[in-house]
Amino acid sequence: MSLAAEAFVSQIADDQILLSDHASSLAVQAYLRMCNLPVQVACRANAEYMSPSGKVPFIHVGNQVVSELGPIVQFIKAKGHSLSDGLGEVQKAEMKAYMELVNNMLLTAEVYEDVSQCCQALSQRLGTQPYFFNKQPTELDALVFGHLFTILTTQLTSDELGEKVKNYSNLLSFCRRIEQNYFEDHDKDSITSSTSRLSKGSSLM
Amino acid sequence: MGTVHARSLDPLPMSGPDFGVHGDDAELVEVEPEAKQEVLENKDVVVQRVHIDGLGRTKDDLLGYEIAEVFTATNLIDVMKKSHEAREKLLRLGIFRQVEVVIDTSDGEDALSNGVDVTFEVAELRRLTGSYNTMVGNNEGSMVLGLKLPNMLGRAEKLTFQFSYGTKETSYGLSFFKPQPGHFDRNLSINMYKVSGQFPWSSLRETDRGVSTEMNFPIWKTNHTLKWEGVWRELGWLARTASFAVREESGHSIKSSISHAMVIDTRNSAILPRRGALLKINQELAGYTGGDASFLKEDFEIQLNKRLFWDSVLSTSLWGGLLVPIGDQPSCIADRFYLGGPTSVRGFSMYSIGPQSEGDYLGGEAYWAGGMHLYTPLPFRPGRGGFGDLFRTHFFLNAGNLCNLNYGEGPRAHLQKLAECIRWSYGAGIVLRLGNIARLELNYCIPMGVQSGDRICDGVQFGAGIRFL
Repeated sequence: MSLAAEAFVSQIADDQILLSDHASSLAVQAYLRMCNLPVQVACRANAEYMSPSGKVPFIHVGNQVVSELGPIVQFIKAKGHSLSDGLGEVQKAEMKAYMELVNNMLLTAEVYEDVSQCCQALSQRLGTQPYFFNKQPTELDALVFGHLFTILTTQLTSDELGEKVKNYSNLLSFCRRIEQNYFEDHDKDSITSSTSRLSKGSSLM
Repeated sequence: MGTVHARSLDPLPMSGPDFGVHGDDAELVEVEPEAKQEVLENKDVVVQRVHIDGLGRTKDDLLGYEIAEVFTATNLIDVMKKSHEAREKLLRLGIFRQVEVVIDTSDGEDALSNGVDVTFEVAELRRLTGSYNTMVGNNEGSMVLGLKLPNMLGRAEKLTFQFSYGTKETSYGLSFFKPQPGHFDRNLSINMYKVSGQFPWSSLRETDRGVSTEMNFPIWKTNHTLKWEGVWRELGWLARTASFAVREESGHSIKSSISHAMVIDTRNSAILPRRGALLKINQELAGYTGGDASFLKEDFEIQLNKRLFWDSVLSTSLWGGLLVPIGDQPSCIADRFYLGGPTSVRGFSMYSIGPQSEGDYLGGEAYWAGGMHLYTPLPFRPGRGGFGDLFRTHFFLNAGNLCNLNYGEGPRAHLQKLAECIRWSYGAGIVLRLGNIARLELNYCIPMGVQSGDRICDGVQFGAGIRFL
């Protein structure tokens, strides 16, 4: 593995974090774990002010700081790790389109209809495959996992959003799969803290 | 200095040197107190009345304290001297544009034969005054626009609004000042401000919004300031290349601190003193009154000046400081000490000594710095007695150290830490005094004792500032 450095995924303290920031942090964590890179999560109250773009999450590798999923994927690709290299041009374009959809519809998750539509589209695309592009997860899987898992496990004043997602059983098992494969049996010792945080709230099991 | 006039209502021709105020044989205009001292001193007078003409919004009771001394005068020279002192005191209140003194023989039914009346003719400042200045800070310049309401409530209170735009700092502030009647040195002020500064040596940007109240009072020969300050600080990094250590410091915090400062200053001038000494001690306790920052900070400054042969002056200074964090939180980059630059340890770049990360200087929790200067007039003394007197040449030797201490280790280890890796430099240069508040220096420096990570300025270094080692 050429990328030897540890990556910090920083986010604001857990009790103050915004839903969308939590989703983005989780997506980045999932992506790094899918790339089989060591991750150490650090929560900082001033994370937004530390980030070069003013947004969380960001990673700190050596003396470099990169924020948000898109640039992080690019950065890690430049270091020789990529999950979407095996995809064809058409598939890459499709993946980008779906990521765009998720970003647009789930980041502003107040609009329930949008969530519903988005879930339906994702559910159809996933079908019976383990990941969106069959056997191997990509950044799209990381992103979808970040958002759906956040919606499912965060206790909100109303459960409406979570209930919407629970209507799609293949999306539910998709989330479970990623949680099991990348957050549980994956190097147990170093991620205990983030796993415990992950399974806080309503569990998927 | 204003002219002291002494005259009677119906002036008579001058009758020789004996011009007392007895009876009608008095008078004259324009007395030179020094020249006629012997003659006038013998004449006893009684100050019967003191008038202040030209008062508008100023309250009488405030001025009573300032002029009371005039009544104690027993001869004419004394009257002049005390009137002059009272005039100085009135001007110091900062509420009059102009104060003139008229000393006159008493008039009216109860007038004594040796009675005099003293009249202060004053012109009050306008209700609203404006000002425009350029200022020099430590290696930075700024333009200051001010609006002032002098004598706002009639007892020398002052409300000031100031906007300053500088090369590194931009600030504005509102300040209310109130002196104790009769004791101008004892005063209270309340300030509100916002300051935005850039510190390129740390890749740091800081915006402070704060409130402070401060009390000044003299005790014997010392001046004291007690201050409470509450400030909301916003730290950010200046460039994308900022080190992670500086990024970690960014964000919002609140500091609430009480501080005490004591100053004894016997120097004849603050900028190029010929004699006298300065002792400044400053202590700050943060966190006790709330806020995120908790620390105790102490620092001091000593300067001794000794006049030597041929108008040369030997000046020795020593600075030192200690910051002790209280509780588990480490100290904040904005509270730590910085050292180096043309106004402290010369030959090093501005604040570029000590702990650093990826080229960003993080400051230290302990420091000391010492300097020895030999100031001499310019060679061959061009412009002597005039412009040339604003200049000095100087030879200097500076030394200092800045580091972090492990407070578990005890004083012996601390002293050892401060004594190793000492930075020092020597050189010579020209100093220009700007008024009595700032000075410019052009030096040739030879830095020594450079440690890895320090940024040096080998050769010519220019400095401007108000506080110098």
